Amino acid sequence: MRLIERERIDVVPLTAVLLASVSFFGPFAALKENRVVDGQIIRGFELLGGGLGAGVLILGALTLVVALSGGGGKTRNLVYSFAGVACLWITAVLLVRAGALLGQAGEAPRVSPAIGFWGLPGASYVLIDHSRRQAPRWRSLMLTVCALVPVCLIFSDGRGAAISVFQEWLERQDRFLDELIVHVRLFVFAILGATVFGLPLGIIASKNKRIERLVIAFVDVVQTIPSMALFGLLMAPLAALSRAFPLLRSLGLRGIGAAPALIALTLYALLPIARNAIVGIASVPLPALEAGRGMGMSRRQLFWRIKWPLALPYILTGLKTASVQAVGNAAVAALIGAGGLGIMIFQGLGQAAPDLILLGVLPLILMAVLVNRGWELVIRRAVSPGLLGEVL
Amino acid sequence: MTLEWRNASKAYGKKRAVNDFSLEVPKGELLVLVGPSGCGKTTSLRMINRLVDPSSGKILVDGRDVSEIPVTELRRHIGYVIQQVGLFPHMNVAENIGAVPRLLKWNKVKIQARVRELLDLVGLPADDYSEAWPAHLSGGEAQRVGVARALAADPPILLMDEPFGAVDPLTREVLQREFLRIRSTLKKTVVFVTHDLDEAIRLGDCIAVMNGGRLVAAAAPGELLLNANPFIRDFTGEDRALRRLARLSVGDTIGQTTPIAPGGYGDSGTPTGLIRTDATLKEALSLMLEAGESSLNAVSPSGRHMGKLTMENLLENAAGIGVS
Amino acid sequence: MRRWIGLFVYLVVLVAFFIPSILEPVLQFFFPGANEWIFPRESLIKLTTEHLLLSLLAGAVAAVIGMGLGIAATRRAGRPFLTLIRDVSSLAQTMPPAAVLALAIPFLGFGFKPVLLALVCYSTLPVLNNTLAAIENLPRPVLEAARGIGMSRLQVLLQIELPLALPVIGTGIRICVVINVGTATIGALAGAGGLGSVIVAGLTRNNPAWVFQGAIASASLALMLNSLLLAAEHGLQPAILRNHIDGNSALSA
Repeated sequence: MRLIERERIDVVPLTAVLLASVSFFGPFAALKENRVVDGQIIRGFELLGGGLGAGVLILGALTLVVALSGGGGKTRNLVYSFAGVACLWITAVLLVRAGALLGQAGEAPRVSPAIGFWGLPGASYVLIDHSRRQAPRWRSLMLTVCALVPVCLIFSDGRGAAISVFQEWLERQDRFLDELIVHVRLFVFAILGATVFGLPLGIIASKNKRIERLVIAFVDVVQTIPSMALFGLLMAPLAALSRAFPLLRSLGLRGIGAAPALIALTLYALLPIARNAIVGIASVPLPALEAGRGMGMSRRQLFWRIKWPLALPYILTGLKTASVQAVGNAAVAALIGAGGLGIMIFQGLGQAAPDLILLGVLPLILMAVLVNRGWELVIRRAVSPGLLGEVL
Repeated sequence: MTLEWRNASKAYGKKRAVNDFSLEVPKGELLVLVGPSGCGKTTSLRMINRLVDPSSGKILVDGRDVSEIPVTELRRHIGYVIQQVGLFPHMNVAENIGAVPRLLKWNKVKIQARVRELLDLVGLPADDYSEAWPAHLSGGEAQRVGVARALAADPPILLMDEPFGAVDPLTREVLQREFLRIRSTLKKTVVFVTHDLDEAIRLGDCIAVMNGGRLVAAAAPGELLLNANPFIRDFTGEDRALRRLARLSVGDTIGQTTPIAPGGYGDSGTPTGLIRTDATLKEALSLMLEAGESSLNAVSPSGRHMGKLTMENLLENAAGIGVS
Repeated sequence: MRRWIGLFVYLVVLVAFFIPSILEPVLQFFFPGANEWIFPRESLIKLTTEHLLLSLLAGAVAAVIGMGLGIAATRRAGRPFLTLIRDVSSLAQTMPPAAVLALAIPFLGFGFKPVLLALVCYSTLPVLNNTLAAIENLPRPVLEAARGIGMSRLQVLLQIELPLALPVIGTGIRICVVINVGTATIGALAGAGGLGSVIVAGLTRNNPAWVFQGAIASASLALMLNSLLLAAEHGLQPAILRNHIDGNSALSA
C-alpha cells in the first residue's frame, strides 16, 4: 500500500486492463446457425490478426506503463482517454471479424455476444470515467461521441449485419419502432400524470403534518407492492368498472391494456415526486423564510421566490428518480397488454431466444440512462448555482 | 420616523411573552432592547413589522397604528436583520441585496447602482462580492450582506435581532464599529435586540432592559449603570463601574473636569505616563494600575499635550458623578 | 405501535390466503365468472416460501457483498476505487430490475439459481450506495477523536464507523429486500417459481382470480417484510438519532 502511495501508481486503469483481457481470453462471441442453438465459442485473441494484435499489445503496454510510472496527470489522462475510445473501436472490429468467420450455413447465421464480450466496453467505461475526472466537460462529451462512432458505423453500412441483436431488429423493424413509441408514450404520460397529482399533493402535505403522514403512508405502500402485483391488482376493478359504465369503456378504460398500465405507473411515480416535494419544502432554511417575510413578501412571493427555487433540486431529483423507474416499470406493463419494449423481452423469455431479449433490453437500458442524464442536465440548468455545491 | 409601543402585550396561551410594554423611540435614535433570554425583547421587536401581532395594545410608527398599514407595505419599508442572517442561498449577493427593491419594482439600473453603493457602504468590494454565493461567505461577510440587504430600499426604520450574535468576538467588534460608522452617515431609527450588555452600552442611545415580558427600565447607558433597581444591578454585574469607564474617553473627561492649568501639574507631581485622548477611561485605569501612578498625561492623537488625568477623575466618573 | 398493527394486518391477509376454505369463497365473490378459483398447480404456502427464500437469500448475499464493497472502498487501500465504484453503482442503479433479470437469462439460463444470481447483482446496489453514503458522511471530528484517543483503524471501523453507519445501511438492506420481492415476482417468467408464477399463469390463461391471489399474496409479502425490516431498522438506531429521518435519501434515491 505504501508503495502505491509513494510511487503514485494509478490502480484503477489496471482494472481496465484486466477487464479487457477477459474479452481476449474469455468467450467473446458465439457463432450460431440460428437463434436458439448453442453456437461455436470464439475467444477475442483468435480474431486479432493483421497488426491488430500488435496494436492491442502496444495499447495495453502503454496503459500499464503510464499507470505504473508516476507520470503527470495530463499525459495520463490523454493516454487513458485514448485507450478508452480505442477499446470500443476494437470491440467493433472484433465483432465485424467474427461476422466474417460465419459460414453461410443455417437459416440465419449470427454472432451472439458471449459473456466475455462485455469486457472491452467495460474497460472503455472505466478508462473514460477515470480520465474525465480532471478534464473539462466538452472533452468528456467528445470522448463519448468518439467512442460511439464505430458502433454507429458498423450498423449503418451493413458490416454489423451478422450481429444477432441487429438481425432480430432487421426482422421486426416496424414493430420495434412502434413498441418503442408506445413505451416512451407510456412513461411520459405516467410522469406527467404523477407530476400533476404528486406535486400539489406534496406541497399541500408539507403544510400539514397529518396530511403529510397520510400521503407518505399511502405512497410508501404503493411503492412497496411489486410492480407485477400492482398491475394485476388493478385489472379486476378496472374490468368491473368498464363493464358497469359503457362510457368509461368507450374512453378506453379496460382491465387490460394501456389504462391499468398508466394508472399503475402513475401511482408508482407518485412516491418519489410527492415525497421529494415534501422533503424539499421542509429543507428550506427557516431564517430565509423569516427574512423573506420580514422584508414584506406576500405568501405567493414567498412561495415562488423562496420556497420553490430552494425545493427545486429535491423536486427535480424526485422527477428524475420517478422517470428512471417508470422507464423500467413500463416494460413490465407489456404483461397486461400495454405493449412497449417489454413485449420483446417477454417474447424472448418465452421463446428462450436471448437475442430477442437483448433487442428489448438494450434500448430499455439506454433509455433509462438517457432519461437519467437528461434530468441531470435539467437539474444543472434549472437549479441555482448557489445550491449546487451543497445538495448535488 | 418615531416608533412607539403603547401598552403592547402578547400572550401565548396563558403565558404572557410581553406584558403591557410602553416605550417611545424618537426619530433617529438607536434603542437597544436587552435582557435575559425569554424576556420578550424579540417578541417586542417583531411586533413592529407585524411578524407578531400584539394581543392588546398597539404599535405606532410615525403616529400611525401599524395594524392599519398593509403588512407587506409596512415590512418593505422597515429593514430587518436577524441573527442567522437568512440570506437566500439560491440568490447571489447582488440579488439578495436587491430583493426588496425588486419587490418595490425599481428598475434594473437603479437596483444595480444601489447594490454597488451598499456593498461599498458595508465594506465589501462590489467587484469581488456581487456575484458571490451566500454558501461561500464567512459569518461576518454574510452579516454585512444581511445589513446591506436590510438597508437596500433606504427604510427609515431598521430592526436588528441579535445581528452580531453568531459571529466570533473579534468579528463582532469589527462589525459593531462598522455599524456605528454606517449609522453616523445614515440617520435611521433603529431597534436593536441583544443579550450582550456590553454591546448594548456600546451601541445604544437608549437601553431598555426587559425581564419576564415587562420593561424594567429605559435610560441612557450611563444612567442605566447607576440604576439602583436590584434586577438591573444584578444584570449589569459587579463590574458595571468598569463598564461605565469603558464608555467614556479620556478626551471628554479632561474637557469636563480639568481645565488645562498653565504650568502646574497639581499636587501629585509630574506624571510620567502618557495616555491618548481617544482611549477609554477603562484603559486609562489599567495603565495607572500597571505603572503604579495616580495620574497620566493626556495627549491628543497628534501628540499635543491636552492636560492631566487623575485617579480622582476616574473615581468620580466610575461613581457616576457628573455624568449626563 | 402503528408499525406492529400494519405488520399484523399483512400477516393475517397472507395467512388467510393460505387457507383454501377462506380464499375460495372470497375469490368466488369477486370473480363469479371464473371457472377455477384457486391456483391448482402449487399451494400458495409453497410458492410464498419459495418467494421468501429467493428474496431473503438474495438479500442476505447482497447485504454481505454490498457492505463488504462499501467498507473496502472507504478504506485507505480502496480509496482509488471509490469514485469508480460510486459511478458504476449509480449507473447500474438506473437500469430497471426487469432489464437486469432479462439480461442475465441469456448468460445464466432459466431457473431458480440464475434468477437468484440476477437478484443478488441488482440488489447489491442499494446496500452498497447506502454503505458508501453512510460512511462517507460520518462527521470527521468524531473519526478524528477516535483516532486521537488511540484507536487502531480496525477499532475505528468496528466501534465507531459501523455502529454510526448502521441505520443508513439498514435502510439500504430494507430497500434491497423489497426490490428483491418485486423482482422475484417477475422472475417467475424466467422459471424461478414463486408467487409471480400464479400471476403469470392467470395472465396467460385469462383467469383474473389467479392474478388476484398472486398479486395480493406478493403485495402482502412485500409490505410485511418492509414493516418488519422497518421495525428492525428502528431498533438499530441509537435512541438519540431516532428523530433524524432521511433527508439525504431523497436526493440519492
